[in-house]
Amino acid sequence: MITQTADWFDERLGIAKWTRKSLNKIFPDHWSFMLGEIAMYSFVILLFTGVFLTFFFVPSSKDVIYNGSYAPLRGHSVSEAFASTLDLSFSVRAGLVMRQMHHWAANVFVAAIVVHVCRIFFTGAFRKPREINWLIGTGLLVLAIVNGFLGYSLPDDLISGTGIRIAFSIVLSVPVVGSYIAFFLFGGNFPGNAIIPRFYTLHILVIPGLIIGLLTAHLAIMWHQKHTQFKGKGKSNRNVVGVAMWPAYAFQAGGFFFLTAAVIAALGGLVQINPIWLYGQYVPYKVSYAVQPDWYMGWLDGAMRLMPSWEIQAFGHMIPTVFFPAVLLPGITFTVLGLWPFIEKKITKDDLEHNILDNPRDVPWRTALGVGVLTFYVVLFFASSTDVLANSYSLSLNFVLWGFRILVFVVPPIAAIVAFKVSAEASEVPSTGKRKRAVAIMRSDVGEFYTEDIEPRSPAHEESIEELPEEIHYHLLKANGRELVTSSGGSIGQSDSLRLDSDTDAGSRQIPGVQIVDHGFFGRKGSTGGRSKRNIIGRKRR
Amino acid sequence: MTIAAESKTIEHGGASHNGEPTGMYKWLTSTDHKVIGKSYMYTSLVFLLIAGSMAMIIRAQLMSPNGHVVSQQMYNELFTIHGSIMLYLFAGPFAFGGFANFILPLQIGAPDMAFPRLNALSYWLYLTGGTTMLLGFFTAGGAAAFGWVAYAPLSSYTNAPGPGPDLWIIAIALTGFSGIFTAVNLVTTAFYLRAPGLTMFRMPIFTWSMVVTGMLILIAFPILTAAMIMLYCDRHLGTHFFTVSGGGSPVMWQNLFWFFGHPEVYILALPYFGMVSEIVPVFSRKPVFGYKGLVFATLAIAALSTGVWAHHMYTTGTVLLPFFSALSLLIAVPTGIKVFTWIGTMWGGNISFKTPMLFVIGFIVTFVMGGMTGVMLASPPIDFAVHDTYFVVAHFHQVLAGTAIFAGFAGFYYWYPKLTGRMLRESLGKLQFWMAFIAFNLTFIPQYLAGLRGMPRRVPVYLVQDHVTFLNQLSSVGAFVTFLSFVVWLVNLWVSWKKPIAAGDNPWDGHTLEWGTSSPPPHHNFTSLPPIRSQRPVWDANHPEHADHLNHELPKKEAIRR
Amino acid sequence: MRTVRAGVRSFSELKLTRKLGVVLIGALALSSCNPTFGAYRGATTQGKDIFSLYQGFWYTAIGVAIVTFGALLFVVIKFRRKNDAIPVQRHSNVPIEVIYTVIPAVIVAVLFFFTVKVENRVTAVSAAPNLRVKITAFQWGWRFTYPNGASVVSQGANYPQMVLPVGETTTVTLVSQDVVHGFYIPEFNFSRYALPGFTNYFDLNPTKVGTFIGRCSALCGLYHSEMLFSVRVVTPTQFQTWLSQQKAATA
Repeated sequence: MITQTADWFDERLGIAKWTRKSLNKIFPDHWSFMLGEIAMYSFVILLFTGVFLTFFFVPSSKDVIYNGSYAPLRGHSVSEAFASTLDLSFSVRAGLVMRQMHHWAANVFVAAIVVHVCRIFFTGAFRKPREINWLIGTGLLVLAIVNGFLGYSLPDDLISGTGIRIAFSIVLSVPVVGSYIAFFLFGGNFPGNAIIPRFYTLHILVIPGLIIGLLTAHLAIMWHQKHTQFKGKGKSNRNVVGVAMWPAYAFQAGGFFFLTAAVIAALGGLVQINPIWLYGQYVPYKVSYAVQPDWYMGWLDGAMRLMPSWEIQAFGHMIPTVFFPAVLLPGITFTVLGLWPFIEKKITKDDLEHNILDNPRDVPWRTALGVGVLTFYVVLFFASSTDVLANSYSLSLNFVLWGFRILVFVVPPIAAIVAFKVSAEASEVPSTGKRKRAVAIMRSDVGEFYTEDIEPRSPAHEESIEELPEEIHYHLLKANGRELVTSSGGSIGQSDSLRLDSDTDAGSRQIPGVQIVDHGFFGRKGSTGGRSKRNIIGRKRR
Repeated sequence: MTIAAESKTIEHGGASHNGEPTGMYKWLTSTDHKVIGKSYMYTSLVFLLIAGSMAMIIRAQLMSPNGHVVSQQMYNELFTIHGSIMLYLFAGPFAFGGFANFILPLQIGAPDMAFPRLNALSYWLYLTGGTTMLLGFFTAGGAAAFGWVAYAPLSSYTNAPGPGPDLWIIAIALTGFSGIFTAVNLVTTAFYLRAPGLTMFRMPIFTWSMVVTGMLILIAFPILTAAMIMLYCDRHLGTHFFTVSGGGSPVMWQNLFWFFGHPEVYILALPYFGMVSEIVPVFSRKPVFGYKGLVFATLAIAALSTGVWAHHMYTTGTVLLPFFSALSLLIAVPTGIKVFTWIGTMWGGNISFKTPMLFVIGFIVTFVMGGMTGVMLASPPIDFAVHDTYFVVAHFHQVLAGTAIFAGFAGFYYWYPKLTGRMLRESLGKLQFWMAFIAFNLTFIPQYLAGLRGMPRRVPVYLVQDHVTFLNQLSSVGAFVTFLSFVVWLVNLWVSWKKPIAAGDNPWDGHTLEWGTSSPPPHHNFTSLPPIRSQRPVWDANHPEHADHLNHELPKKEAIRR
Repeated sequence: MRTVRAGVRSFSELKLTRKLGVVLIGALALSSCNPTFGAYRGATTQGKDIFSLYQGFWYTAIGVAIVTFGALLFVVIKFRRKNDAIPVQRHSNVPIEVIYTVIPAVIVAVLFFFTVKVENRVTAVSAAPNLRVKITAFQWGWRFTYPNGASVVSQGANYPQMVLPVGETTTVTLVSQDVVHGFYIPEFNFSRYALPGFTNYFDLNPTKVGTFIGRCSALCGLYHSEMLFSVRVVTPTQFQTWLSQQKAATA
C-alpha cells in the first residue's frame, strides 16, 4: 500500500528519486549534534502555544477596570494587555499552562541556541564551507533574544515594563539619531499607547516569520552541505558516516521532539514562571527591587549596572553612559560573533574546507578564547543580580558592585588560561574522552604492578554505524584507481548515501576505490531495485 | 642501598601508562593517591599559615591588657576560626588526608587506594569545605564567633545571627564527609590490599595508627555531622533541640559535640604517633620495641577515647564524675606505654639526630609535659580550678599543636625525600627545630601560669591587676618566633626546589616498604617488591644478617643474646 | 653490649628504686617546703582540698617526669650515633613492658582514689547550710540574691560584689538566664557553669577574710571578658550588718 501511494505521488510530482535519496541520507551520530534540535523543537512548541495565546491576548494599552478571577487586583485600573494576560492565567482553560509553557519554551529556545552555538564554536564547525550558516545562526540568535524580550514585555507588567523603559533609554542613548528612533518606535514619548500593539505585531508576525525563513535556510544549507562529523574510523573529509534518515534518524529526531516537548510541558506545568499578578500593572513611577530581565538579557543588565557613570562628549554630541554597555557592547558582541569564521581564517590562515570537526582539546587556543569570552558574559550575567546578592548576604551594594567590576576583568583571563592548560594537557593524554575501560591491576611475581583490560575491545562498540536489516551490497570494481563518473558528474548533492562496514577504512579495502553502498530500506524496493543508472555511485565527492 | 631489582619484562596487556596527564590537568583530575595526598598536604599547609596568622593577631592583641589590635567581635571570630581551621582543616587533613594517602598504600605494597575516585572526591570536598569556612569573613555579620565548640545557646540564631555561622556549619559538614570517605578508603585499603606476606601484625605502626584513626573517624564524625544538622535546624527551621524554651537541652549539644570532640583529638594525635613510631626505629637502627604492645595501646587509646567525652563538661554539674575521671585518668596508661615504647626503641640503639629525629625528641618532651597537665585536668576537682582558663589552652596546645607541629614536621622531613625525590637542608631543618622548640615552649608554659592565676580563655582584654601581663608578653614573643620558624621551613622548601639534592630510594635506611621503591614512586608504586617475612621487609633485604625473620626462627633467648 | 645488658637487667630495679626514691623525696619536700606550683592555696575548705590534691598530682608528675625525661636524656646521650654499627635488634622485653604498663596503671589508680575522695567533698551540698545565695548569670553580668530579698546586680561597669560570711557554709544556687556562663573564682580554686534551664548547687566554705575577684569562664558573647564580679568574705557579724543594709538598699 505504501508503494502504491508513493507511486501515485511520483507519477504526479516525480519525487521518487529525491525521496529515496533523502530517506537514505546519512547523519553522523553524536549527542552534541542534537543541541540545535532542542532549539528547533522548542521553537515549534513556541509556535503552537503562541497561537493558542493569540486567541486570548489583547494587545492594547487601553485602561480597563479588571474584574476577573484574581481577587486582589479586582477593581484596579490596568491595561487590556495586562487584564487579558490575567484572564489567560486564571480564567481560560489551560491558559496558565500554555502561558508558562510558552515562556519556558522561550527560555529553553535561547538556551539551546547558545549551547548549540558553543558546540559549533568549540568544534570549529563554522569553518568553510559553513560560514553562511554561521551568519544565519547569529541572526537567529539575535532574533530569538529580541523576540523573547518582546514576548515577555507584552503582558505590560511592572518588571517587563521597567525593561521597556530601559530599552527606551538605550535607544535614546544612540548618538544623533537616538531620540528620533526612540520616538519613532514608541509613536511618541514614553510610554505612550503604541508600544504594546507594535511589540505584538513584531512578536507574532515579523520576527517569527524571519525566524522561520532563516531557520529553513539554516537547515537547507546544512542538508545540502551535509552535517560535520568527528574524526574516527572510516570517516574522512570526503564522506559521511552515520545513520540513515529512515528509519533511524527520523525516529531519533521525532522522539527527541517529544522528549523536548515533554520537558517543556513539565516545566510549564510544574514550575511557575512570570507570575505577573504578583508584580502588578506597569506604572512608570514604581520601580521595584529584584527587577531583572529574563536570563538571556542578563548580561546586558549586568553590563549596565557595572558601567561607571561616565558621559563622554564626542564630536559635539554627548554620549550617555548607557550607550556603551547597552549599544556598543552588544553591537561588538554580535558583530564579532557573526564575523568570527572570517576572523579565525585571518588568524589561522586556514582556507581549506573542513568537514571533520575539531576535538576542542586539540585546539587549545580557540577553546581558551571561547571559555574566556563565555566567562566574561557569565560574570556579567551574575552582575545583573547585584541588589539581590547584597540583600541576601547582608553585604553593602557598593561592595558587591566593586567586587563584580574586579571579577569581570580578573576571572575571564584566568578561566581562559586554565582552559588552555587543561585542553593542551588533555590532548596529550590518549585516553581522554574515550570510554573508560575497566582494568585490573595485576601484580607480577616480582611485585611489579601492571594493568590488564577486563573488558575486551569489541569493534562494534567503536563505531557509530547502524547496521540496517536486509542490506544490499554493491561492489563496484574500479580499475587503476580511476574514478567512476556518476550520471551527474559527481558534484555535491548526488547520491551521497555511502555506508561503510565497520572494519573498512575509506579506500582501505583490497581493491582501492571500492566502496560498499547500502541503499537502505527504500533501495530494495525501489522501482529499479536499486540498480538503475540513476543511482550508480562512484567515489563520493562532497 | 636500594632494593631496585630488575623486573622481568612483563607483557603489558591493555592500556599502557605512558600517556599520563601532567600539569594542571593532572592536579584537577587525578585519582592517584600520591597526587591527592600531595594536594591535601599543600592545602593543609596553606590553612596552617592562615590560621597561624590569625594566632599572631590574637597574640598581638594580648600583649597588653587593653589591646586594640582588633575589635572584640573580630577577636572572637579570629579565635573561633583559628581553632576550627587548625583542627578541621590542618591537623587532620595534613596527617590523615596527606600522609596517610601518600604513604599507607606504599607501606602495604598496594598500587593505590581501594577507592581512588572516592579519594579524589574527599579531597575536593575538603577544599570546598575549607574555602566555605573562610568565606564567613566576607559576610556582613562576620564569621562564626562562638568558639570552635559552638556551645548552645550561644550558637542559636538569636545569639549568633547572620550567615557566617551557617557557612561554618556547612564547612564542617563538608569536611566531615571528606574525612569519613577517606576513613572508609583507608580502612578498606589496609584490610584488603596488603601485599602477600604482610599480615596484620606485620603492618607498620603508621599503618596501624591510620587504620585505628579511620575507625575512630567512623565512630565520631557522623555524630558531629548530626549535631551540626540539628544546630542548623534549630537556627533556621524552628526546631528546639538545644533551646530550653522549646523543651530542648543546651547540655545535649555539649554531650553530642564532645562525644565527637574527644575522639577527634585522638583522631588528630594517633596519625602523628604513628609517624613517630616510624621515625624512631629508623633513626635508632632498631626495630620498634614492643610492637604488639604499641598496637594494643593504640587500640586501647581509641577505645577509651570514646568513653571520656564528658571530661570537657565536669563544670556543668551534669556529669557522673567518677566514671569519666576514671577513664580519663586511665587513658594516660596506653599513652604512657607509647612513650616508654619509643624510649625503649631508642634504648640500645645507634641514634642519629638528623632533623626528623630532633623533631621527634622535641615532640616527646612537649607531649609528655602536656600529657601530665592532661592527667591533672582529668581530675574533676583540679578541673574546677582551671577549667576554661589558659591552663587548658596551654595543655591542649602542648599536646595537639606539639604533636601536629613537632611530630608533623618530623614526618614531613622524614618523608619529603620520598614524596619529591629531593632532600631538605639539614642546617635549615635544625635551625627550624631549635627555633620552634624553644619558642613553642616559651609560648605555652607561661600560659599555664596565667591560667592558674585566673586568666580565663577567649578573652580579648584583661586587667592590669590580674598580674598576667608579663606572662602574656612572653607567650606572644614565643608565638611570633614560632611563626618565624615556619618561615625558615618555607625557605628550606624553596632552597630544596631551586637547588635540589637527589634523595635516592632510601636516604634514611628506612625499614618499611615505601623505602623499597623509587623517590618519588612510579605509577602504581612498585616495579618490584622485596619478600615480606617480617615487619621490616626493606630492612631485611638490605641487612640480611640482621633480618627480623631470622630472629624469629631462633628461640627468644638465643635471639637476644646474638 | 654487656654493659647494656647489665643495665637492662637492673634497669627495672632501677626504675623501681627511682620511684620509691621520688616518693621519699616528695614526702620530705612536703614536710619542708610547700610549693604552690602556680596555683592558689584556696580561700575555702573546698579550695584548700583541691589545692592539696593538685600538689599531690604535681609531685606525681615530677616523679614521672624525672623517670621519663631522665630515661630520654640518658638514651639521647648514651646511644647517640658514633659509628655505623648496627645495634642488637631487640624487639621486646616483656618484663619491662609489663612494668611500664602496670606501674602507670597503679599510679593512675592512686590518683583516682584521691580524686574521688576530694571530689565527693568538694561537690557535697550541705542539707542545712548557714546561708543560701541564688546567683543568676546573664549577658553580661551577675545577680546575687540573698534569702531576705537583698540582691546585688551588675550595673554597667560596676562589678557586683557578693558578700559571704567566713567559716560558714553557703549553698549557692546557680542558673543562667540566657546562654552558658561560667561562675569562676580563681582564689577559691572553683568554677561551675551557669546553665539555662538547669540549676547547679554547690557549697562554699570560706576560710579567710578578704576580697577575691571573680570572672566568667565560659564564652558567652561579645562582653564575656567584662563579666567580672568579686567576693568579699567578712566575719559573720559584719555579714549580718551588710545583709540588712543591702536589703534596704535593694528595696
